[in-house]
Amino acid sequence: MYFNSAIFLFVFLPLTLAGWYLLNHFKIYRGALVFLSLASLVFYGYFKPAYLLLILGSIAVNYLVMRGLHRWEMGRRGLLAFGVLANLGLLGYFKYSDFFLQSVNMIFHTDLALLHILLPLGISFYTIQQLSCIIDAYRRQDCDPTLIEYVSYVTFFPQLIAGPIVLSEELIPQFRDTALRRFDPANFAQGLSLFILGLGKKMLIADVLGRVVDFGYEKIYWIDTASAWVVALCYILQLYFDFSGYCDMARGLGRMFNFTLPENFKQPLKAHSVKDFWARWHLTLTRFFTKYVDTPLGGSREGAVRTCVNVMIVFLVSGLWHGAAITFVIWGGLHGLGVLFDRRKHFAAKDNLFFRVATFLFLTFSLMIFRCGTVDFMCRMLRAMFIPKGARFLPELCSCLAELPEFYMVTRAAEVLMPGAVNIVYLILLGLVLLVAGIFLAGKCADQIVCSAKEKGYPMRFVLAVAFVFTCVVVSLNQVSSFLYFNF
Amino acid sequence: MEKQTAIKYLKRLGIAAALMLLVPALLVVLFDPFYHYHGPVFGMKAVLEERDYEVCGTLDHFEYDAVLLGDSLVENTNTAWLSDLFGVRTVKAIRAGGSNADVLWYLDRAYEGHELKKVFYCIDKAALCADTTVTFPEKDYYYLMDRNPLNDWKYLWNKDVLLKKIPLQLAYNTVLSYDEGEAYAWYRTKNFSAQAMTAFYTPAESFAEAQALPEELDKNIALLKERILAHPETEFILFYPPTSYLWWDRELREGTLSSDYEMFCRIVEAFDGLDNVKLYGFFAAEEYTQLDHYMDVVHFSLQVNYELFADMAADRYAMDQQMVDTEWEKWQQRVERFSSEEIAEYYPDAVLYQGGDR
Repeated sequence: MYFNSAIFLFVFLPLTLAGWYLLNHFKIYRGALVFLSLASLVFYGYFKPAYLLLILGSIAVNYLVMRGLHRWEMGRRGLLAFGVLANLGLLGYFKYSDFFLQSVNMIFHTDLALLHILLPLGISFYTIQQLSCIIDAYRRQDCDPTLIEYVSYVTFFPQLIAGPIVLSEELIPQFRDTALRRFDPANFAQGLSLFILGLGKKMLIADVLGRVVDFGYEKIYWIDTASAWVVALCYILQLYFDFSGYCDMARGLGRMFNFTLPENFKQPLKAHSVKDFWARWHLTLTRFFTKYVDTPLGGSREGAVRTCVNVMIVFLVSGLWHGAAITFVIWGGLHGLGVLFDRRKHFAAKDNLFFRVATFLFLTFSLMIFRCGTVDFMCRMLRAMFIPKGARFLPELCSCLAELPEFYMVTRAAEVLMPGAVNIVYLILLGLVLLVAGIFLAGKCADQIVCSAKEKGYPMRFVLAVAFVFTCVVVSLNQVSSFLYFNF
Repeated sequence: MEKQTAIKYLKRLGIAAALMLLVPALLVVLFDPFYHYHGPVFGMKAVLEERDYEVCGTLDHFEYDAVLLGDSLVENTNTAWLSDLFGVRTVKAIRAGGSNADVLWYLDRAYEGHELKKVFYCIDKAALCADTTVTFPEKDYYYLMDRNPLNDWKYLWNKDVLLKKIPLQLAYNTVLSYDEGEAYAWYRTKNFSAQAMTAFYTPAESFAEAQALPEELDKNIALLKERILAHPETEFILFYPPTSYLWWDRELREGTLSSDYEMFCRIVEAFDGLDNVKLYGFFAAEEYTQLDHYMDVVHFSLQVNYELFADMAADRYAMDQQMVDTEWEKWQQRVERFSSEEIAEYYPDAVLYQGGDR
């Protein structure tokens, strides 16, 4: 189920919280973990019950591999290799089969039939999470979880579908700390606020921007230069508010259960270089690739050339992890080159407005490729962005905002009262949407807002603001939309 | 201290959120744009633009003594005409693209709270041949129909209702003009002409073998007859509307023309002779089948729409077995002539009908 659904907000979450704290109140600690795991499986199975077999199978295999790695002294490398290959095989089959077949068909001019396998939700996230577990177990750096701890960790619903990518060493010790099993109003208040603000980012900002993006990509054959840049700009903002909103919700939910999930964003669109961006964006993914891919490859310890190769490998793999299409690989490659560019000694990137704007433009451009899905779309967007073609399509692009309930009466009134100026009204609406997004982008992030309010004893204006966001979210619930990062 | 502050905050947040959530719910209950709780208030006009969301509410809460059942073909009907021609106050119960079972569900709903003098039923071939299962429970607006207050939250806290429907209702009652009789009407934005409507149709390149009628037809006829027999106090005016020559051309090419005759026979057999039924058939009304009256192969103009009711009020085009037999033979020849000659005027490349088994 989605976080932004009534069934989650008004049934699943209250029942799960009540069950969790009730069992812990009576010191049934293992029972509480079992309950949490079952609730998380209900949450996951609600999307499609068949997915449960997959995640449970994956958990079973990985747990057995972990146990083997703990108990065996001989053959550990082989067992690790089996575990890694099993996880990559699972991900490869469900995520990359068609991409592989398409590539073979393209290169060898064959006509192999595609499998059209539906990508199970969250498989990219829980697969790499479990990969980290077995690698840590091989290194004997993990916390040797029991079966129920392990199941609770992998399936913990706030982070199951789209991260943040929590490591077992972060969450399992918190499961074991019985002091965290008591209801803590301070954590709950903080978590609830963060969750509501995250919901607001997703439903009130990202989804509005998403209208423009979806409309622009639907009409890609008509798109002109100005519209292409507007669509690209809306997409980077949409992606940020969507994904960071989701992570705020996940962290907020974690806090409501007294658990601390790692931070995933540090105002990434204020980065002054690509390297700086990756120190602020999807931090838990960066951490995973650093720890489990870059470091084993030698990182920056093996000389300049090897360092460059390692950086490119990490970013190409990261691109491929995000999606099974050549556009994702191109996006990863561009970011790899961007990071290498930042390593130059002369004219180093400084934290000033020029570098921030330059980095933002690079990110806008590269994420446009990320969104394209096919090379054909990418080429069309590139042509539109860089071969001047005017702005005739722009009013039509902005007109997609007219159907939003928020703007409906304004646009209907404009159509009746000043039909000649309707296009200007559409442009003003787009400007308004971008202005609101810009204000929230320039200000504090949700976490900082909540912490600041907490320090001030939750002033009344904060109470009213959170209540207002919640009210807006509730009345928007009939417009269900999916989270972008579910696709990756 | 921190704990106390958090508890105080949670309490204040709960109260603030509850009060804020109360505002949209009260507005929706008060203005009730889908008429789920009551009819129009403060002497406002009934603004009806969202057929599927509003029909059930209007059937439950409006004052009327007749219903117009049918699909988009009769959606432009102005209920004021029915008032003038038949002396009844009518509510439209339109189910576009639906089934006979859905339309009859509306009829049952109307009977739950009203005594009906007349029921106008527009016979639609597709609806009569459709599955006899009511499809509403699968629809996302079923919460407006199921009388379950627990799912009313979808209506009470609904952004579209709050920011689109209520302001629109107020606008139509203050600054904009609105004709209540034209509920759900769509004709204003359409172009009725041969040139426009031919764009919606491409003649098939071959003529199929004759097709049999589906068995659902008899089941649907039986369902309708069941209602008619159950309500002898109501006069049922059943009518088969006209369709364009191109619709008939399609019937010919798809091999269903001969089964149309069979359908009319079964309709007449079932309903002709019932005391509380008046049956009309416009299938062979040449004056209404000209392409210029249409926006596509079936949807006719407002003028035709009015004329149909005027004809029925004057008891023209009554349908019985004799009328079907005599009119059909002429009509079939007329359709064949159109498909073998006249269609070339609109589609120069069309494969022309050469005669043969239909």
